[in-house]
Amino acid sequence: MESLAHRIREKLSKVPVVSTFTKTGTITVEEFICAGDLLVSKFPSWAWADVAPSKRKKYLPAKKQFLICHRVPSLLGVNVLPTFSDAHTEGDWIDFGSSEKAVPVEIDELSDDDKEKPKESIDVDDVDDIDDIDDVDDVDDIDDVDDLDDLDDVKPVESKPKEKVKKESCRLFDVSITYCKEYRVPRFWIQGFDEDSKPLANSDVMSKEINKDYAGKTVTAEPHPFSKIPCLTVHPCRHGQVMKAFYDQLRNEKGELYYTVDVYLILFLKFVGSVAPAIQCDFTTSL
Amino acid sequence: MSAAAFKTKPFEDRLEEARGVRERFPDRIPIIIEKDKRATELPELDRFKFLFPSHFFVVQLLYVLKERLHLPQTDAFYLFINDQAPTNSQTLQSLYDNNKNEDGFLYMKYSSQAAFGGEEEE
Repeated sequence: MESLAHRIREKLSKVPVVSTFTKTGTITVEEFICAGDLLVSKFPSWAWADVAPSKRKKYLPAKKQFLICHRVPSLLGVNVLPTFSDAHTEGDWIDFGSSEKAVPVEIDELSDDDKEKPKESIDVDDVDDIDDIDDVDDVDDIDDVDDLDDLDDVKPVESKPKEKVKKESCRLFDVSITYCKEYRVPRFWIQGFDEDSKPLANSDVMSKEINKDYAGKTVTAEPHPFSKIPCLTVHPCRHGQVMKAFYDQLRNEKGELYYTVDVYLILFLKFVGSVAPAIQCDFTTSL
Repeated sequence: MSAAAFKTKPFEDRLEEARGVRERFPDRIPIIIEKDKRATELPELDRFKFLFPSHFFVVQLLYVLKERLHLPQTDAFYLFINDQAPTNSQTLQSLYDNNKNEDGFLYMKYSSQAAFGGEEEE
């Protein structure tokens, strides 16, 4: 719940100027602007937004009050995502396709019985050699991330496959990122619209788009700091810790941070996007 | 058989198996999924060979796997192919076309980054 006390705190908290990002995962306004500039340059769907002069936050540049990505489609409601019980086994494969479409196979290879079962119970005891995993060292290691340059290769977002976004269920979202002075982190906001650009009720968006693990807990409806329209937002109190952990995971062999603060928002979208997995605001492929 | 053991099978055997499964299920993508070895806090999947419809989005895959692993509510979950995390909106077909192994399988690893309150939480 966004209380009066919070708003007062936000007003009174000082604008941070000293960079503490490597220690706390939080960023200064300057770092926010720098990371925002990179986001906008790499991903043209994102843009800086300005507001009426009276509504501007003075600690942010006039033309760079917050970041917005307009009318992002939702691929599907989380509730229609497949579940493991939709799967069936095909030999030693777990198959999520519908069995009717399979090319017919010789009867001795796959009994009809197998096909009909919607779900075969999977027994952990079947896996008798899980210990082997530790013995194998040839597994590629994520530590070898050596392709920051790939950022340059990221193609602008191509248009979404239209047939997947059915007309009758077309739901679009304005996704924005503001700077939260109190927690010194970016803050993520979502506002939904139907195909006629009529705003969706936050309760509707909450129930259909927000991962149930987060709905009503980490994600709540609060007035957007600029438009004052109630939007869904992810509470920022843990963002610093999460971002620090994210960066720490990507240290090089010498223990130095692999990424600089400019890619902060690109990484941020990767983790914060998981609250609304179907809303396509994370366009990064190579991080 | 584990994913690690599977990868030590002779290349020709794997090639043959991928060819066979692609022939039988032309609209599915054969994916070998295992845990990133550094993600010690995550459980292992009890199976590692998956067939997913080629039109599936990555987001659907993530969702299914999280469900299967009974991940704690506050955990986020990431997939990596050759150390790169695909976007939610890529289809498995495009992932397969661009990243499949020479043996015809698509190999993925999963890892977690505890979001919204992490390992460092006191």
